[in-house]
Amino acid sequence: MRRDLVEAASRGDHEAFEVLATSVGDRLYAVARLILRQTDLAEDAVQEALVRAWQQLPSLRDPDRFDAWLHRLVVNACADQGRQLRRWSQQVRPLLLDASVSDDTGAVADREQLERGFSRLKPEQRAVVVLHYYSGFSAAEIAHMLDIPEGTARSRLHYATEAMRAALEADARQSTVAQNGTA
Amino acid sequence: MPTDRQLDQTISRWLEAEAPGPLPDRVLGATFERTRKVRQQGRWRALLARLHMKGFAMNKLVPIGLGAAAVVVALVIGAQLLGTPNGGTGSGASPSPEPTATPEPSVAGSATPEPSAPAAGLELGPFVATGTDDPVQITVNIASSGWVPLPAFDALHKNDDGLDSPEYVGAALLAWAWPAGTGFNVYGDPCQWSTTVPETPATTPDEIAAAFAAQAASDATAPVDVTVGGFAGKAVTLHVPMAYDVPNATREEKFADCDNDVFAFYGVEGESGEVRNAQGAGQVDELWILDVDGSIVILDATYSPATPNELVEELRTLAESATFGN
Repeated sequence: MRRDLVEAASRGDHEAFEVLATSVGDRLYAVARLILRQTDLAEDAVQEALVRAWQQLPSLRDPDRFDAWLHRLVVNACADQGRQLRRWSQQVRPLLLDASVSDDTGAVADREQLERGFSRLKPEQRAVVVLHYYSGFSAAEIAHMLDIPEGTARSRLHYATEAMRAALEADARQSTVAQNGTA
Repeated sequence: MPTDRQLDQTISRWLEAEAPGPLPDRVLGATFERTRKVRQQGRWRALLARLHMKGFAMNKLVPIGLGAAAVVVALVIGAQLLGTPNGGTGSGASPSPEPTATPEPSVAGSATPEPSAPAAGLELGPFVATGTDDPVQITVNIASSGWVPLPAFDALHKNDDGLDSPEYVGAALLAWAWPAGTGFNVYGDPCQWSTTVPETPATTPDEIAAAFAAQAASDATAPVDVTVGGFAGKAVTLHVPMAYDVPNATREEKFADCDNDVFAFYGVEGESGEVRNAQGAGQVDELWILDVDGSIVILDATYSPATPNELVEELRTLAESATFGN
């Protein structure tokens, strides 16, 4: 069914494209928002990615790669958004924490540290983190998607993961210091 | 200190918690408003994609007689009347060099063949390559068997093997026409096409050919005067550098260093993005750029280094047989 829609859209069937875009819009928006950390930029990135998808669909030879291809478009659109606004490389925006939200990630402090660690990542590392930990793509799939060597994808993922681990551990050390009453 | 597994789970859950709600409807609405107005790119790639459809490989094509052709035409017309999607590319006031299927009696193929449907070879003789809405009707003389029409793309092809250049052994003729006054954006660099759009579009065969001759990377020949079907113009030949030949790579991977992974020769004002782009390294495009009573006609004979010389000659003969009418 999905393959049929992709093939129809690639032949210019706009209704089929609307069905496809609607079905993936939320997911793409989440990816863009997580990477860019800003709602308006993420909305623009998704819109640009979907317009490019419509325009370039005839070039997609394997309909089964539609999802991966769309993710690539949205990551590229995120990069474009950031470049246009010169925020892509230094986008560090504190997360608005909602302490009433309860989840399994543990303490709010952990979330703060995760956010801090994540925000310090380079944009290309952030993209890899989101594609892997949120979208569920493997390093090999991400490499193919972003047109980078698999080693590079693994390297970015490893660095990013360790950076976030370091952020969490720094928080843990601070807690320990505070509990021990030492400076 | 969290284990790797714990850390993975922590990050995943954090991202899930951070993910926003649904994409606002207004974003999708604005998106569709834009996509309805822009054309899809890569007509050539779309054309090949159709050729590559399962069961539609060139080596499975068989000629059919006029009676069968009439049935196919009737089916096309019927499908249109019933509103079956047929690859329309949206609305817009821009010129329409990408017509939908035409019920011309000589068209022996459907605009949207079913994947399992046999495609038809053309009868020898005159064949109208353009759609009824085009500003110029281009008729070519089919002098040898095996040519297959793709009406939705104003194109004919022969010996498609499903491969990209330089392995592609086939040949194709694109017969496209634009209304008088259309501006052609011949990119300064086909690889960096999105940032090398000329300030002033070319509008005449002389200007268009000169722009191709000055185009970086396409190794264009010097424009020469030509006359086809009684109409004068310029001829120029473009080449895609072999540097883009990456074994076992997809087309996008081959052109990964180019804008949007596309190597594009030109675009047309009023149409979004590029109009004509390359399939792979070594591709050759011989262009006849003609002024037909003010309208611009571009006959694009394209093949690869692997295409046999005999087929290239056949392709040229086909292009030079063109006649024009309204």
